[in-house]
Amino acid sequence: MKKYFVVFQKSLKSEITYRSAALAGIVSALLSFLIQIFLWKALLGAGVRQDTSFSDMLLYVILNSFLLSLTKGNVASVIEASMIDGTISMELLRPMSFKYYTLANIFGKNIYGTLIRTVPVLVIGSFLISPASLPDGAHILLFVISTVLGALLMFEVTYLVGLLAFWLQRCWFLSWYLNGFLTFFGGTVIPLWFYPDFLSKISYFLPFRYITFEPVNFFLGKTPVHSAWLPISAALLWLLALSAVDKLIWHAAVKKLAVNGG
Amino acid sequence: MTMSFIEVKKLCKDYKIAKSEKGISGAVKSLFHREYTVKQAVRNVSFSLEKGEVVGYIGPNGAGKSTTLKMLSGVLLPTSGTVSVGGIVPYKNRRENARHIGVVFGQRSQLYWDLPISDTFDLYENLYNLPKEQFRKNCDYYIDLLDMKDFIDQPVRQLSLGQKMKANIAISLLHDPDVLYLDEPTIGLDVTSKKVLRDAIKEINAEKKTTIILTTHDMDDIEAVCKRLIMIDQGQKLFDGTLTDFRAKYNSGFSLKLEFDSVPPAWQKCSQYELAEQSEHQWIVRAADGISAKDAMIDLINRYDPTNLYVQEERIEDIVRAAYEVNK
Amino acid sequence: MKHHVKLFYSFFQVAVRREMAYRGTYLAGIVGQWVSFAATFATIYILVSSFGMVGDWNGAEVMVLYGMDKLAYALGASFFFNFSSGLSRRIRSGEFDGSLTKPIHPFLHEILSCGYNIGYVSHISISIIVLVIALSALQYHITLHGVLLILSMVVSGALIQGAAFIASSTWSFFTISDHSVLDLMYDVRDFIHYPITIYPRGIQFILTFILPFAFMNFYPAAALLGKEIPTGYPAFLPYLSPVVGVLLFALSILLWNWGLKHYQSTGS
Repeated sequence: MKKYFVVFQKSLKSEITYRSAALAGIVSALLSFLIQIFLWKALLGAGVRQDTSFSDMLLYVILNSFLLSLTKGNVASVIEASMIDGTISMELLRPMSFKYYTLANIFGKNIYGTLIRTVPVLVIGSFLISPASLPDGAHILLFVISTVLGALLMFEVTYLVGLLAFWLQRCWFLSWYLNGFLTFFGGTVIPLWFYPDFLSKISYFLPFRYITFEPVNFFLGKTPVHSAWLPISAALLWLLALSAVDKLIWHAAVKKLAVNGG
Repeated sequence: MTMSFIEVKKLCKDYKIAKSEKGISGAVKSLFHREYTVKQAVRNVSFSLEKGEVVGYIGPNGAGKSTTLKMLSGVLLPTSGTVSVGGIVPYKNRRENARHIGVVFGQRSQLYWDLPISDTFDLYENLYNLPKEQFRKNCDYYIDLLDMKDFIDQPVRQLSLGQKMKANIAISLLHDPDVLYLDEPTIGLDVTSKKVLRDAIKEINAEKKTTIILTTHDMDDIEAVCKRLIMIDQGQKLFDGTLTDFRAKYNSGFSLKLEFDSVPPAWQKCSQYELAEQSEHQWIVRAADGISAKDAMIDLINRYDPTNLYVQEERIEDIVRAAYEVNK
Repeated sequence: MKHHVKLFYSFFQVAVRREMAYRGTYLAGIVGQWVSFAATFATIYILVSSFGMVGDWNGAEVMVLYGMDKLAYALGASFFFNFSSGLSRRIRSGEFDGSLTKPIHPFLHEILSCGYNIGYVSHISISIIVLVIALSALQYHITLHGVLLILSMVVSGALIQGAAFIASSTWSFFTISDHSVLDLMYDVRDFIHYPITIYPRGIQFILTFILPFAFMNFYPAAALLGKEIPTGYPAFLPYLSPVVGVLLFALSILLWNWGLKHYQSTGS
């Protein structure tokens, strides 16, 4: 466990050294928040639709981009790069699991950028968000639990897709597919409750809505405590299922490397 | 006074290097105001070359070799001083100059990674607007000279360093330039590839009368292809002349190799000889200035009775190293 | 001129052959981008139509807005994206110096040798499809005049986008940086995904007169569909896109050349 923490620390540290990137991150976060403020002002005004107010939507936007920027990662391009320069066999020789090494790496890389991007947005948001949008204690607890599950699930999905890089010459396009599904079925841009019924029904059977959408739902108090078991157990099930699949793929990848070389 | 083909006069190049400041506030500050330190990469360098010369341009890392080549090829503007190549001022008339020069900057490839070399050849035919006949003739000539037949149709990513360098050189010569600038052409290559390249460079110079300036760290390159040598260090010219003159100026003597069948006798310290290297059955002995090779041989045989004895002229590499030391 | 056409063509051939060296990747990439864009188009359509309107624009109208933006963007990006995003790296690796030893203008050589991202075929095809669907949903009568208007607007938009790419890349001549200026350009561009009438007047002003991305889609679409433009702005403004495009493009090249001069004298 300690060694993974060291990996986490190292990649966090190396991120902190890029100062101009931090500055750019702040500006970028503020600009995209600005767009969302005016968009939802125009759409909702002072009104309420689907039980959602302007203030709710701002919270939705902030939490969504917080969760996304915390969990984003391009595992495929890491594997691709190390396949090209031949260091992949060294990755496999490391005395730790490649999966958890990657996990520690991604979170270490993301955590600083996420804070840098979220804090200024929160400061501005705090003037616009009404206390009525904030959750009670039980919902905060549920939010924390489902956020952890969602973050792990996001990692699981990117990791799984990333493993495909072992069989591809190039894999920049993998993230396009992932983004497409995440945008459409994950509710990362627009809440799924604005969707036509049949689409939102489909989304229950895919892993994407449990990544950011359900955690945010808890925070906004949209999911009552008594039905909290559904999204949480769905997230857990997806986690278990996907990690079983990634184990199989991983073994196949190692076998392929052993046969063909890096 | 007639002008030489390449004239470099009092050439200077200063680089401004921005100081980076610490912390977020430093980063913000540096957006608006920066402090610089000035580095003089090339200081007051002058030389002239006649058409058809092959000159080795040497110096340690950061001496200003590449910077000089960049000013000669029109990439950089001089801070002061002038350059003229075949009557053209490269940095004022960059495009016209480009038609008459070929440039290879080390391993920075001009080739397309995913495609065979032949594709890049075709591209250059159009880039330089070459007549079909000249293009075909040159392709055949360089493919043959550099022995490229076997890999001309392979994607570049599958080629070795040596093969890529050959291709880069061939490409830079397709338009029959008057001058060829080679920046570290043999860096990272194996012994055989180096030899092929050196022979080719000599052949090109003899056949096409191309003027060639090459920078290198490998003094064997210089010995193999250059009659003339220009040495710079810390931006300043230290030497300009023939290889023979260079030896005469900096050579501190010669060395002798002594081989023994059994354990050699004890070394006797004296002012005329210095034991430079020592292994179980072999000594390298450096002789001081002023001793003739004949005297040294007789003397050492009398003293130590070696089985074999060879006289070695000091390698140019050692002379160059000694010359840099002197400059420091 | 004939030489330039030949040159252009031979570099284009190389670009195509490079992509075709990885045919499978190319196709998978095209489909992937379709998936991603279809998702974005669909979510925005769902959003606007579930609310009915955003700033007086209905779902199909916002699709026209978004489709025009994507089309103009893709046309500009297919020539200038690689050029712009790669310049910093090429300067650091010394490849850019190679462009300065060629007998054509380095700007032209950079574009010819690293431009032409033929991957943008997917952006272009999907935005044309969306435009056609949205316009027919709006029962827009296609006339020759209308087609010419759309084409000229798209070309102007591509010029504006090209200018944005060129101007952002100029930064690389001054500092060893990552892409932060390019990223900033994308952040500002995001504002034009929605009609600019939803923003306060300050932002409308910036998007019209300072960083005039609104001429890539908002004004052209407003002209096409007869929508309101911000109050107080002259009525001919929507038709100015071609002028803005040509002007910005020329200015960006001047800016780039100025940056190049700086690079050649300092070698940063």
